[in-house]
Amino acid sequence: MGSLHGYTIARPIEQVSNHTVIMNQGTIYPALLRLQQGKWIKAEWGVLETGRRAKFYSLSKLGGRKFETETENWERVATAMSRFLAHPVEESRWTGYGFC
Amino acid sequence: MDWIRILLSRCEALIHRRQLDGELDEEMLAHIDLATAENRTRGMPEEEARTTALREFGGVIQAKERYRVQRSLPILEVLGQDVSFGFRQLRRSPGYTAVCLLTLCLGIGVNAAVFSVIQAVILRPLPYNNPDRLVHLTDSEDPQDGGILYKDFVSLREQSQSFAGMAVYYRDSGWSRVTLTGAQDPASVQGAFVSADLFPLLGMAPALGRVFTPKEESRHERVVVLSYGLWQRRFGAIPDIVGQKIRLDGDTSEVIGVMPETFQFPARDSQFWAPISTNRYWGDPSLNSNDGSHARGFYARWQAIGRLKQHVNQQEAQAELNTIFHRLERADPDSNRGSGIAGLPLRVEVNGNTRLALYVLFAAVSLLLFIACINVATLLWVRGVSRAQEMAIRTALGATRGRILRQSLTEAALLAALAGILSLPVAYLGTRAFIALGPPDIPRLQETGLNLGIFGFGLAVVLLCASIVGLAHAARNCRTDPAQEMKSKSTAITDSAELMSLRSVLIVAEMAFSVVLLTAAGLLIHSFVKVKAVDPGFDPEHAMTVNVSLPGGSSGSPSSLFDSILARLQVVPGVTDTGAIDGLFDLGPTDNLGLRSVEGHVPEPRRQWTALTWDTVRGDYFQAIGAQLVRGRYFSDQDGPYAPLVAVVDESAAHRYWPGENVIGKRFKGQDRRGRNDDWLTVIGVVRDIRTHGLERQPTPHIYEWYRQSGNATPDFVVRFTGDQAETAATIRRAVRSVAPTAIVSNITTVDQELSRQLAPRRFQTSVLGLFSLLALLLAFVGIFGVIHYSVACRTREIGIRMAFGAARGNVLAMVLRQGLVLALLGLGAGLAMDWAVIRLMSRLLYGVEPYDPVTIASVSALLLVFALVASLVPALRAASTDPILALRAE
Repeated sequence: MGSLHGYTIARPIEQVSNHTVIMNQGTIYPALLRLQQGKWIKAEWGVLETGRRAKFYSLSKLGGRKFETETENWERVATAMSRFLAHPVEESRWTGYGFC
Repeated sequence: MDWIRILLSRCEALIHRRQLDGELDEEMLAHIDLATAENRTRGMPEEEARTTALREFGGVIQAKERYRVQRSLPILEVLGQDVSFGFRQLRRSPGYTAVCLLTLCLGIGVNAAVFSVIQAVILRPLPYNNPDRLVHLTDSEDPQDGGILYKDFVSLREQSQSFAGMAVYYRDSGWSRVTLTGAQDPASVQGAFVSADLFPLLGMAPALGRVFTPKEESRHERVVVLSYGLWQRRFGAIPDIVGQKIRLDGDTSEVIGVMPETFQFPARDSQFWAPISTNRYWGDPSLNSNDGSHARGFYARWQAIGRLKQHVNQQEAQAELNTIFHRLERADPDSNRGSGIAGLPLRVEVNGNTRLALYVLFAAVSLLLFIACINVATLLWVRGVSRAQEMAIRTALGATRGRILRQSLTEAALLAALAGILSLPVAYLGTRAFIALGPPDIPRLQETGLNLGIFGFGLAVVLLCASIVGLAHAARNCRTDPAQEMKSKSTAITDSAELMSLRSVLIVAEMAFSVVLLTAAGLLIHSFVKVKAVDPGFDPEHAMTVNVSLPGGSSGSPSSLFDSILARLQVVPGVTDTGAIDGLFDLGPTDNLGLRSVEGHVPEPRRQWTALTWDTVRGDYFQAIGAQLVRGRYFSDQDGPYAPLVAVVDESAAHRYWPGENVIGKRFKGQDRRGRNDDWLTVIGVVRDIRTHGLERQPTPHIYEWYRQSGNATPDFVVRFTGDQAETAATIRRAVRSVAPTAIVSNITTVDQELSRQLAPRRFQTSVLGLFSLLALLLAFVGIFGVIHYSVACRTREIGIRMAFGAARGNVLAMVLRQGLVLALLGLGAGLAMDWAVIRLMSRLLYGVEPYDPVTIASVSALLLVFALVASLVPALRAASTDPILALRAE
């Protein structure tokens, strides 16, 4: 992934999420800042085609690792969740532990 | 670890806030530009493309705000705002700020200074190895001045199992005073003759050279370890002092070491240490045997210290001491009867009264700190009330409670912090002043440094007090309905009632504390007046005294030398009478002595003996000191060595031994080897008590002997003169030197100065406590002025209405004064109650005055009431001059 401008990052979110995530594009900036503070992404100033100065963000090495671990975590959680939803726990199993 | 990175980057952002703001703007503009351009390419008209882009972006301001919150530390930013706002507030009312800061500075600074002194003098541990394991072994009946017998010490050392080590030294400074002769004028030097095991026992190593060994002690070798001070003063701190020979009492001693500056054992004035066996009284048989002629105190000349073994506590050690002592008592009942050996924790020998005085001073400054806190609290409170409207506006504009609370607290903390910074120099200077002006009887005073711990404590107290006020105040602000508050000031009337109650309690407390301080100071002042009014029994003015002692080992009869000095002094111009005595200003303890027989009375058993002093006088001593002869005659030339023995007694002695009788012609026998011991002495004269031994001391009976019959030395010369003081002093010195070039001539002072020196500790206590109580009174004055002034300001409208309804100016004046007076009376009552509870704790410092001295209490009450009235008078006059029309219209 190369370096992207805030707008280029924000715009596809709605489309990719199939309009489930609806947000004001401006809110991407505090989020980007947080990632920057954690040194997960890097920001550099560059020049747009229009000649205007703009900031370009790219994933850092640290961010890459973080991305991998977080993805793994998410997948584990998601898999577990979908399994739970597929085989709901029977009520009698809970009472066995003295919860009622 | 992630949070650390985030925190660091947030902190970094604090620094270049402005630049980052600019970058954010630029970035967002670029975003909107890009979006607009893209919309245009999708075929939107220019206008629509831009609005769509803006809509999709959302609120720019909100985005920026969230960005900023994320970017750095908002709490710190708000704090910064609060602090700078607080500063502006303080600057805007310089009078209020100055009063607050001054009050706090005094409170914290003075408190820290006095506590630093107490810490350095009393609380600081002794500079020895494990000082809490050291035990002072002394007479159990009289730990301060008593002692133990050397032979008892030896038995103790052999038999005791509780101690890891013991060392012994002469307790009586007089027995350890020697004459140091050498290149300079001969000087009398206080030393300590100690056993060799003392140094390892205390764990002290010399700064230079070495200390002496038990072998040197047993061989009576003349070696000496100098004190740091003596080495500095007398020997110019030369590095090769070790190995040099000095002359002590005419004997050559070798300097083998120098102790460090902190080593002050057994007393502050110990200037050298020599083996106990080299003392000139070592082996004197009278020192260890009881021939029945002296009280125990006379020959129990030693004190000892011991180091407790690891697992032995003091009670166990004392129990063992008691057991051993009972054995000793059985073996030698004569020497040991009616006494015991006490093992007390070794601590700095601070005179009991000095210790008490220091604690009283500390109590006083603590009260002062309290008063300062109360004053500041009320000031903050008043200020808070006057800013209620401002707070209401803030609330109305959307400030949250937390925000207002935080701001109030920040302001209070700011004030306390400023006060802290400013009071540091006050504390430092206070400590220095204490050291410079303190009386010489406070040990380790010179080593006092500012104690930052107590300084912090004072600051914390102030901070706490300020926070409580700040909080209470903010809470009140949050409670009020802003609309109500803003509507008008008329709420001030009801408010002030609520407010006055709390403020009144504070002011009453403040005045009560001031009353306690004033009473304490008043009692000391009254005592001082009483001491000054004591009839000394002599005339201290125009009398000069000089102590002449002969170097030990010098040849020639001292008596004839004293005679020639006296004869030489007699012809000094301006001198009218000369005389001499032994022990003119002896402030030490007095031994209990008995008379072997008093004609017509049964001899007293020893337990009835009381303090008694024998003095030998020479020349016209009584005339020179200005004594008052009550009856009979003074000594004269007819009382030669072979004439019948005669004595002059003072009134105390006359009353003690011949109560209600005419003393002249009465005969008695002394108890020791003075003069012709077995002859009767006849009383030829009675004088008023001559109280050179301290005006505050209960006069002890004195018996004066004539030098031609007792043969004792009389080193204290007294000269009555008429001329200029400095000139006479110089002439006297020259005269003495011309007759006795090798003699040690002490400083020549007037008897007046000497008396005043005796009073130095009392003068110091009185003036310091007086100063503190004055400060307290001043603070109370400010406090009561503030509360009355404020209440008048709040009640302007009410007063206007009263006057409109016909109240005369006098009525208003009286009303306001009454308010002040009620507060003062309440404070006075509370203060007197507190007096009743605490003031007797200082009764030992008083002289001739009861703790509940009616004169003092009446003066204090009057003073406080007058101050309260004056403090309320200004606001009262202001209230009385209210113009009702203006007052009503102003609302």
